[in-house]
Amino acid sequence: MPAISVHHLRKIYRTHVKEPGLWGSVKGLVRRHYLTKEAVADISFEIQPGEFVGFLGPNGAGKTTTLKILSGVLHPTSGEVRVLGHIPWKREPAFQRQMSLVMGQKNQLWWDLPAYESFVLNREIYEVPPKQFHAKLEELVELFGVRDLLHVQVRKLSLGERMKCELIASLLHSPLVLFLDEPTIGLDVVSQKRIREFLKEYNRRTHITILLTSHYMEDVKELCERVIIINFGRIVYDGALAHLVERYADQKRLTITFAEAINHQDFSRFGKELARSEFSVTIETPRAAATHVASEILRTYNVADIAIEEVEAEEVIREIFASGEAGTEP
Amino acid sequence: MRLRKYATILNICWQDVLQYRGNAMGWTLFDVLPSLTMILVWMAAYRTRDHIGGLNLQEMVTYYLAMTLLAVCITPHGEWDISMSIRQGLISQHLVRPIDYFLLQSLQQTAWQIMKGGLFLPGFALIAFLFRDFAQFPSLTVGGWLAFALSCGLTYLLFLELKFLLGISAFWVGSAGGFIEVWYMLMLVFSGQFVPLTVMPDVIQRLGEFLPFRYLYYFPLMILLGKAAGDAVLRGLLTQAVWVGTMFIAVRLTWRAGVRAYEGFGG
Repeated sequence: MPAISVHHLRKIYRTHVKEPGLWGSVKGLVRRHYLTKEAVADISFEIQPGEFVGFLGPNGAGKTTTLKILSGVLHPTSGEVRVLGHIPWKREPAFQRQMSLVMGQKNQLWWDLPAYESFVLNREIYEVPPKQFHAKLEELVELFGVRDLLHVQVRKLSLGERMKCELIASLLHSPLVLFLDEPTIGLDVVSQKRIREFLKEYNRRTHITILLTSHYMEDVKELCERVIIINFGRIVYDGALAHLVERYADQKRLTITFAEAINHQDFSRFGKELARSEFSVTIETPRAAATHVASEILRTYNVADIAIEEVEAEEVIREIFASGEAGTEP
Repeated sequence: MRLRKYATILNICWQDVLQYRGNAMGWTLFDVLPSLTMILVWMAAYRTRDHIGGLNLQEMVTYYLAMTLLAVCITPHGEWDISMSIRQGLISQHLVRPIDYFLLQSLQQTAWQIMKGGLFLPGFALIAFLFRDFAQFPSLTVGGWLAFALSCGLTYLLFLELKFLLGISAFWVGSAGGFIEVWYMLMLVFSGQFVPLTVMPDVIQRLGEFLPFRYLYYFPLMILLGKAAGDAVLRGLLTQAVWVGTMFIAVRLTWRAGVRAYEGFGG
């Protein structure tokens, strides 16, 4: 049985539109104009237990809305969703005890108390037996290296330290499913890396199912074998990150370093020239022709080094976002 | 097990509240000042008369002194916090956890009450000392004291419910600020916090019969002053309990509707 299954999920928001200015506000009191916005158009996917899936998309694509529906915060407009066999928005305690939602921009820790007190609060809310609580806390504290921070007021922690504690708070009851909404937002590079390492290790150890949304390609690249790309409320791609590049990038890049200066030589017959310096040139060429072009260059010129590279996944995704092309991996 | 759970939660809430000592002091003054001002006003009014609204000066001063205690110790102010949580979308965190938000809020408010009560006691001792010649210690039977205590307990529950309802109105109005102000004015008049209801014009008293406010302060204070006795006490307690029950149902239904309407504003 999949841990998460989503079929034809839709969510339509209805918001009232205020005309500009004071007069617009007054008019709004009498007659309101509503705007319907389809945040999630029609999405379906399944996630198996233990999977670590990245949910990618630009702002307003419908990522957070989907996550909120899956965790039970929102009711969908239509569609069928099961998380661990439960309908999330029924908010049954039996479901809630098995999942966690962490939002990078909202904290559940009590601001004026040390994180430890929030942990104890969660212990009571989730009814975790004391023995299990201590063992789990010990494991998480060890994994994160936050022993010294447990008794410091949360508001005195740095953003990165706080996120570590947020994650600990959300894992103390050993959930089977974890929803992460931009957990690394606003963090410096080192902290982001630590959080990633932790999540990776924790997923490996416990086989927890994780669905992560992020703006940062690095998060997804390092953590998730599978990505679901969503744009305008629709799934644009669902499959392995590795296949994404192969499938969508029909070009490869050749960077050639020559043994002598290339001056004004013309390489346009090999492909599109992207960059050039005194001794090197970067060419983009169709995927199928790349090997042939490389051997042709090796034969014709005095080459010191040649590198064939894939286009960056980020670039591919940027292009998918821009084109809105739809497809799932076969 | 259950009891231990709530005791632990209350304990943590209390630790949190202790961080807001200054704020608690502010709320305490907010709760006490209207009554203290009224004592001075009434002392001037009684120079020319012995009884006003069926109360003599001693009863009137006792009424307001006891009012300060009730206003501080059994008047929660959770509505602002709840409204803010909804407005900023922080409520999402509570929706995914296996605990009833009304219960969590009530425990949090109870922690505040303990804090405010503790802070106010020395102040109350001082005020009671200053007005000792104008007040009287209530002469109630054990049954009377029990009825008073029970009535205060019901007042607290009714307050928790009404304030929760006020707070969650933010699900629909965005910010509950306006509602809260209007509610406060109504409460001031109809609960007897401003003046005892017997001093009010008939029409106000009649209207008040249909509202829950008189069961917040006025009714328990009437028991304390011995102005309600026997059947009147029983009837009053029963009506108070009916209000508590009705508002509990309202809390449940409104919360459910509010969550349904909640679109998680604020991302």
